[in-house]
Amino acid sequence: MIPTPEGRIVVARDIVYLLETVFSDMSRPMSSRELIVESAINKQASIQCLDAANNAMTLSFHKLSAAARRERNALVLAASLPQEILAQIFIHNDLSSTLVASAVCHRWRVAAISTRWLWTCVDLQKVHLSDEMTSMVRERCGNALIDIRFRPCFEEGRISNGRIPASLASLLPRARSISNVALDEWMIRYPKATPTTMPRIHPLLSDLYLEGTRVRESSGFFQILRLSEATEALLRLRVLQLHNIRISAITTQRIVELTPRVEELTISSCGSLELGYHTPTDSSQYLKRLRLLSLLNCSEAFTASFLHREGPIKVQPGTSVQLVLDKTPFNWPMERGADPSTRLHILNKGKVFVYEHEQSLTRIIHTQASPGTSTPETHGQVLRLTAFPQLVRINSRDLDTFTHLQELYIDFEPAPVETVDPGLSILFNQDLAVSCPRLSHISIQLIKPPPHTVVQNYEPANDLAVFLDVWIELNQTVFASIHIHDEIRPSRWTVYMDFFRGLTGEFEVYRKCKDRVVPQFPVPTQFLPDGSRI
Amino acid sequence: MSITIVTSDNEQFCVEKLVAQRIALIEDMVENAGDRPIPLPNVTASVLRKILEYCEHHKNDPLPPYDDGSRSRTTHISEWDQKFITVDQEMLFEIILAANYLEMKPLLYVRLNVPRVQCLTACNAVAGDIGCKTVANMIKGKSPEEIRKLFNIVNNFTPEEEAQIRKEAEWAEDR
Repeated sequence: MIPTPEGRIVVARDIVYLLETVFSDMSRPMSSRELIVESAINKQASIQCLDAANNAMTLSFHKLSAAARRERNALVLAASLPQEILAQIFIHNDLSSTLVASAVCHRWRVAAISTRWLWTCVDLQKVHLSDEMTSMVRERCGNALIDIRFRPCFEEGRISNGRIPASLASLLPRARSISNVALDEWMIRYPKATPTTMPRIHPLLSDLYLEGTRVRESSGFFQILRLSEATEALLRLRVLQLHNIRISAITTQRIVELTPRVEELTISSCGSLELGYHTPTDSSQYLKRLRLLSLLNCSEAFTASFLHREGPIKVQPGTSVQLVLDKTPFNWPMERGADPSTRLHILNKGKVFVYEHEQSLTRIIHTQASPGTSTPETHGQVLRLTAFPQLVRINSRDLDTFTHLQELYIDFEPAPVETVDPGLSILFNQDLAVSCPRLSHISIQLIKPPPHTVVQNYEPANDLAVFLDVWIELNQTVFASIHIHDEIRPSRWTVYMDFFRGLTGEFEVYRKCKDRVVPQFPVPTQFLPDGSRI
Repeated sequence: MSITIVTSDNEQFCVEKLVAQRIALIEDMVENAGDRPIPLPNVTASVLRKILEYCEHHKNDPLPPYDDGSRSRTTHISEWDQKFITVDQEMLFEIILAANYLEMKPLLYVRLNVPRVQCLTACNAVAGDIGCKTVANMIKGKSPEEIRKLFNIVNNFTPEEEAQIRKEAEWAEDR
């Protein structure tokens, strides 16, 4: 509450009254003389009496001074913001900053301490969790659950016997999420660690992020979780992220079995030398988001197994699948004797978003299905191809399984000088028109003009015109919608506006790429400060 | 179509309805006000001018399909918003207070009330909580004394509070 003018008057009156009282006592010489006489009679008692008086006076002064300074701060906007606003400021920084903020002034302290969710995110790499600190965090959290970011700090010698610090252990039962648990590291350093020394996972836990070192096979750490009577907790998990671990298809399947209610499973930067394929395990009906990130850190065979139609996890229709690769797999499984029908099998499962990394999609799509191999029908409705400078490797024939494709987003960056670049024609041609009958929206972002002289007169508009001609001939109707986001100066598209508007239901050219609306993968599940979750 | 807003210092602003509707409080008041001017007794002209500048810039921002995750502890601010919020300290806090009063959470902070989020175009996740983020950035990494100096705040703790704060600092440092 910001003090009202009336409130300030009352406080000011109190201050004046207290000052008068203190100074009037001091201005009475008789009192002092009487004290001196008293002290002569009983020196020890007098010393105590004077000390007590002095202390009381000091305390009074401090209180008076604090009250006066509070009044003074009330006139400063930063120190008089409503508590809810202060809390919203503090939430942007970490717990140690909240601790600092609580030591700035009385109002900030009250705001920080009274807002429980400011104390619910404990990052052990930023905050030292002494026993007292733990107690304080627990107290200030009230009944709220705690999100813990935890990585054993072996180097600093905090954990000397392989046991989890008692202070942290006392927080675990209150944990709603645990991130960055380097269990592998733990196991390597303490091979004799028993399940009882491992974190005891509480049934309240719904979000778990496990990180490993990828140094050795890690299928065991899920075994440990199981042995450590965490089965019940795993049954309730809704978000599971596995990062930087060595993992096998069997382990992956076991994870799926152990966590039947997981809605979001992320496997990132994982490694495996596994070579074979396995019978797929059906995911549960609860799995809504599967994120496979940087799988190419794994062996190609393992990566391929995720893309294979007989891969480890068979998700339900409608699941959002995100695939992000770091680099082009030069020896894609075709050369490893994988099933010749290997394709981007994940496309079968729902919307597909592929983005962020250069050249990522090219080889994956560019598989060479054997003639006569039955082509799996796909249900991918949205495809986003971004940031691959060598569009040459994309071929619209590779899209022939995109029978359900409705929206196609392309970030086009021409190939470098030394590469023969057919431009957009590789994609926008008859094959695309035939392969994707449900396609209704195309969005192209043109980032750079072709740098080489070979295609000096190359104009992307020509390729698009070829595609639209075929489309109209095949479908006897104009194409629904095309958006061009052209960053190339000068843009040539304006010349063709009328032409393309005759071939499409909607044709727009934008000059600012930042206005472009592109499909985004649903953001990972997050907790809200008030305890709910997105 | 436009509406008229009157500030606490009696200045009148004629505002495009599309722009004004990004201010939740005004959106609620427009229906009842009819053609009458909408009074904002807690907002001065200089502050409202800044807020309208923000609304004008973000008037066409679409509603995000998902939350942008601003609730996480991030202090990123977009380039335009960064320029917008580069004001003196007094104005910064005035904007935050006004945004709170006007229920303009993007300018202030992300709403926690989800149904309200969905019904208000004002809740543009991209805009984010720039006011609070800016202040959060200002205090990040500073000591209590540095923060006090920055904002002209004085230490007004009682001796008991001081003792407790000293203890807490020791607990945090005790390694």
